[in-house]
Amino acid sequence: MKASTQAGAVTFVLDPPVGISRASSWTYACRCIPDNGRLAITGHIDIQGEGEPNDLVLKVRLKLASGEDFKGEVEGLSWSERAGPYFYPLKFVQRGAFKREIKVDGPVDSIEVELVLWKAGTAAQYSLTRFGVEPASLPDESTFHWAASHLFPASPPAGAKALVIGALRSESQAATLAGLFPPSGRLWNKTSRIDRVEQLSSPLPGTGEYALITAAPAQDEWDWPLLNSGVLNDLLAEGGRVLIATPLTVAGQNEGWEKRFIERFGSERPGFNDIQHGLALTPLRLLAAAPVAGTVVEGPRYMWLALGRDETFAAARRAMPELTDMLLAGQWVRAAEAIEQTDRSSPEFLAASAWLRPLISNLAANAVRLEKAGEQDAAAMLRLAMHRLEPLEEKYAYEAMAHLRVAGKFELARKIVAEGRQSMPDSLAVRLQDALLCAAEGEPDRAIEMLWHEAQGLPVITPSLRRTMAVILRTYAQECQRAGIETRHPQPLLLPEVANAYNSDPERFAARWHATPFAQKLEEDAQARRAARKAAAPAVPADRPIRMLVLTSDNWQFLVNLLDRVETHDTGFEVRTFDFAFLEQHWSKDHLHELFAPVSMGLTQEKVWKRAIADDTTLGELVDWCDVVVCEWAGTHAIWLSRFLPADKRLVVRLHSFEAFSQWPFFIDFGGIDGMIFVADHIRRFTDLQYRLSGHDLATTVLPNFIPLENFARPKGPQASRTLAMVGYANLNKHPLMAAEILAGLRKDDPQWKLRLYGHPWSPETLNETERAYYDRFWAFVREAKLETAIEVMPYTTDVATALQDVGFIVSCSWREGTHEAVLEGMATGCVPVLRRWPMVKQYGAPESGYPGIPCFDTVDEAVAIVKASAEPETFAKASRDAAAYAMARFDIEAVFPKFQDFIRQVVSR
Amino acid sequence: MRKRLKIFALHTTRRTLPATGGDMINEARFLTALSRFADVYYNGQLFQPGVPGYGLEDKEIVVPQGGYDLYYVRNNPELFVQLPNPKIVMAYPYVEEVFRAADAVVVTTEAWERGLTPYSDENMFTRPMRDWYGDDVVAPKRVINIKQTIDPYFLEEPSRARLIEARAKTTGAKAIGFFGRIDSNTFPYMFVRAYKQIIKELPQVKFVVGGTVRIPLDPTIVKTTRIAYEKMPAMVKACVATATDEGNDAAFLGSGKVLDSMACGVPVIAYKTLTRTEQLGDYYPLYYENEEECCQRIREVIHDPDIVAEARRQMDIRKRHFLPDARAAALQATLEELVELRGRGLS
Repeated sequence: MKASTQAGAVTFVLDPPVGISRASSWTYACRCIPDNGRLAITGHIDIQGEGEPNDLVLKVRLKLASGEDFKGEVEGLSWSERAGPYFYPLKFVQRGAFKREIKVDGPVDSIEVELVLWKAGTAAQYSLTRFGVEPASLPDESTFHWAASHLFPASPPAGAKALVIGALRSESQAATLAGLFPPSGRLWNKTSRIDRVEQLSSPLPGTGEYALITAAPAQDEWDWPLLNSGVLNDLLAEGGRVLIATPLTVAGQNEGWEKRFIERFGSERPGFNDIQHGLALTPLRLLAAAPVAGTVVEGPRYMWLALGRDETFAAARRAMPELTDMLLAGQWVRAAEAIEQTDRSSPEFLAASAWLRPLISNLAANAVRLEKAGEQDAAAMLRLAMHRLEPLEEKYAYEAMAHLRVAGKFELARKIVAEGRQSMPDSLAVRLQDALLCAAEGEPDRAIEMLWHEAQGLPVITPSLRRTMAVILRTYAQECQRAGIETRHPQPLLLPEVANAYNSDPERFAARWHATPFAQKLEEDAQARRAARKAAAPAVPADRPIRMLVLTSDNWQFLVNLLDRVETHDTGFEVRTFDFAFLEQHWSKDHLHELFAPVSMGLTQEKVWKRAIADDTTLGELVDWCDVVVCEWAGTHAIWLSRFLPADKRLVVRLHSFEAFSQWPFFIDFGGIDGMIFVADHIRRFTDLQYRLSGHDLATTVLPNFIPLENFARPKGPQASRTLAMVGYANLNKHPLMAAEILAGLRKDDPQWKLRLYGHPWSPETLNETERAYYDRFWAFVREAKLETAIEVMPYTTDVATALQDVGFIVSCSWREGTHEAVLEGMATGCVPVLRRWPMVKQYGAPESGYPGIPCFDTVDEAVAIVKASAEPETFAKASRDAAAYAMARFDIEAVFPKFQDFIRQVVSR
Repeated sequence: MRKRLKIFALHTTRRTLPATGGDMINEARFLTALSRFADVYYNGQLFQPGVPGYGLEDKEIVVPQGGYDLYYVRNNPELFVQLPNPKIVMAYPYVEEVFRAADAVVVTTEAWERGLTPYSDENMFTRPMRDWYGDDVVAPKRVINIKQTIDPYFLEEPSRARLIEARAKTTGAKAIGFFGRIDSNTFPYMFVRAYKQIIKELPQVKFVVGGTVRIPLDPTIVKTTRIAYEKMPAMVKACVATATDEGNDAAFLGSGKVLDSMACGVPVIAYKTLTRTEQLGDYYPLYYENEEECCQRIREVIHDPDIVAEARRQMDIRKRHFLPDARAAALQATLEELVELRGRGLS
């Protein structure tokens, strides 16, 4: 590789041939200020291999002295040759000479060129045999020669010395050095291991006299030169250069190595900018980088880094020694706080800022690290410092605002927003941050108003506005469900106290959501989608089975028996399956706005669908194939499907209990759904009331989960008529404390009563504050009531039928349930149900709507009475038989599946 | 009766051994094999195969100063050099002092062993290892090939519910699976090119991947999220075949996923390398060395029950070498000899 800045032209040369394959790429970079902004990239290329020939491209990134990307105009490039910070001036077709000239209008400080396989990792595989000038033009076929001869400023003065640390990598390197340092010069060749140099550093003669220092550390000690940059700097003569061979990819390395590497460079395979970050806290400055030739098999194992003294560091050190020391010590948060407290118009700060500004990228990398570690406060301070170093850069301003808001530093965030609104009055990003801050500060109505105002004022809804909508609308939905109770719980309705408050006037709290202009927009979208889908709905052929695509996102628990049924019986369905979880994870934040902002505000169904199936063709194939999609759980995947599934496909969504208490159904496009299955009628009623289903033309039904119960019934053991059990108990919602109270009530008359608690371990160390307090209350009561020996904690089991052989009563004390599987399974084994009227849903008919005719209780005394009524031998035997028969008739898959079949047929024929 | 060896073991700086990655899984399997004839103390605590989490608690790592017959450490150079002898170390990553200090280095394949004995340009087995070891290495005093060990859990039949769930995740297609770390060092690119060809004639075939994805994946591939270790046997069994690593490392590294597939009786469409031959044997019928052969192997898996049966038969023969008892028998003599030699000052 050769980089020349002569006459304003930059020539990159790679030689000798190296292999290129799969995800490998090279970065070449150097500092060069082009004359009149003109850059010429020339060379030859010869690619051999398979795959799509256009897949190999040259990525060019121009950097400013601050380390930021150059974003100005580039003459000579079409719009399609620029994407993000990169220019793509050359798309190679396979072989031949190339030359491209561009002109940049701005203070470009360095150029980074990356040769990369586009769509690397798909199926393309190449070997690159030439990239650059003819090999003959390079007398020494090594990049060391390039690095030494082209980065070294001029012929070294007579008597100049070079220091070689670590073994030279080839004879040709020795020849290069011999050429640069003629016999009158001195060549110090420390061929022993690099770590010995540290020991030798003090007695080394000639401190400050070496014109060139080269270091090729052993791979496991790759960062030694960076850690000892102070020593190298001391050894360096004025204007001298350090050349370090550094491995620049973590591929194939062990975890510790990888961690050290990523901490240093912030990347697994760093580019020029990342390397600059890694070096920012040294007295040395990166001048150029190029791969070490001859070592590449699958990517550049080693790069030559050319370094010179960083004079801005010395100036900063003189002006603000404390701040520089903090930064050198890696005390990023303290340094950020110091920057915030400093008079940033002082001469000292201005003198230091030339060194400080490039540290923005280090601050950003450390902010990301802190965010990942959950240290949001500290990360926000770093973001604020970035803004302070470049106060007029919009990006840093809104990032600071956003992170301060997320960290809960509302006062500081408000101050920065106020400053930003003054200094950047035209910035939409800043105004949106203002709206987001309002939402976070407890003014969601004002946030909605601001957001709507912005949306009305824009000719085109921008992605950033849609993303802001996603955040604010979700926050607003939570606010509506919070019913005036203070809580940070993301699903506030799951808390009993919130549910109680909400249930006091559910219409009013739901109406708050439905009154917003965005909810009305969602409603309009639903009506339009319903109309479009009606027009597109095809008839399903009657001469073949119905093709059903069963889809969920990771949780298949309640589908297994359905799939088993279809596989083992002639049901009239053909079934394929799809798990949406990977797509959801993969799309992550970038696609949240698709779920939470109205589709008609900036998106079209067709485009989003096409993009999705371009990401995953299997989804497209399966949807093409099917007549109906059955979506398990009304979660985010159901929202997405309701909005973007092609109009000619039927969609059935099954909603369990959990989702009814979440915000997701607010965002489901009910116009995109043909049928809803609810696991219980009280869930249907609650959903209808809150999310206003009845205004939509869709079929609904109530069906319990598919459970084969035929083998559950077992003869009860002798202890059964004095034994209660909960299956699944380890959380506040299941309310095991009430079960313990019932047990205590029973034991007043008969100490033989026992309670068994089956389930996953209740581990206090994994519980949040609320759950932990409940856990403590439970065990305090057990001790106080002396129930330690009467309660048996049993492990989780998949064989409920066997586990409950010695249990006579199955207890449900939950605050909220849909069907409570454990109860119906327990009944199938012959356990007598002891069912609480689940307080959070009893006003919607629970649990009698799912268990008609079964006596239910509100108080512990009522529960005790229910148990006692069936506790004597004859009454217990009859109650046990009745319970088993009841469960089989209502909940066994033989009873449930035909209803499911009918419902799907009904939906398909609508 | 011969005294059971008492062995100290440690993997990097991990205080326990969660099954969260191939390295840790392989390590636990190796320690399980060792436990057949030795008391293994991982991070100073008795390693108990069959007990959840192997009975290990999250305890501070303390450098033992004695009390064990043998010390085995993987990738913790700082600790390793402080240990008394006899001590052995996994032969990667290469750290000069560690190689000097070790009484033996441990490898998992014959190709790896040969590549280190001697490590030289003249040795064809050395070449693929250059990226890992660089130009030169300190010659190890001894190289012990521990091979890899099958987890008996994979020999058990998964529950029907797990199997149905696993099949659902594969879309119910004729799935060819690839599970584990997915990056450019491991990914079977040649297989994917063949797959893209073959789905034009056999659209019922799907390539299903699951694990930590670090590279962009072709849109025709079915992607699943990370699969919990206890669900892995079902996931493998839900496939008609599995695919193997193709990267450079496959030339000398072992592969746990091949053993998993062998244990489950699911044919492996294997990129032919010395290491795969070590695992699957010379007579295994489903190797490929280029794209066309790979296409043919996929066709055979779908259409030719005789070849599938032969593949299963060969795997059944080969898997016996990798069962914990077989590995334990082979390792016991080697390690006891090492301890004895060292005790006599002959190592």
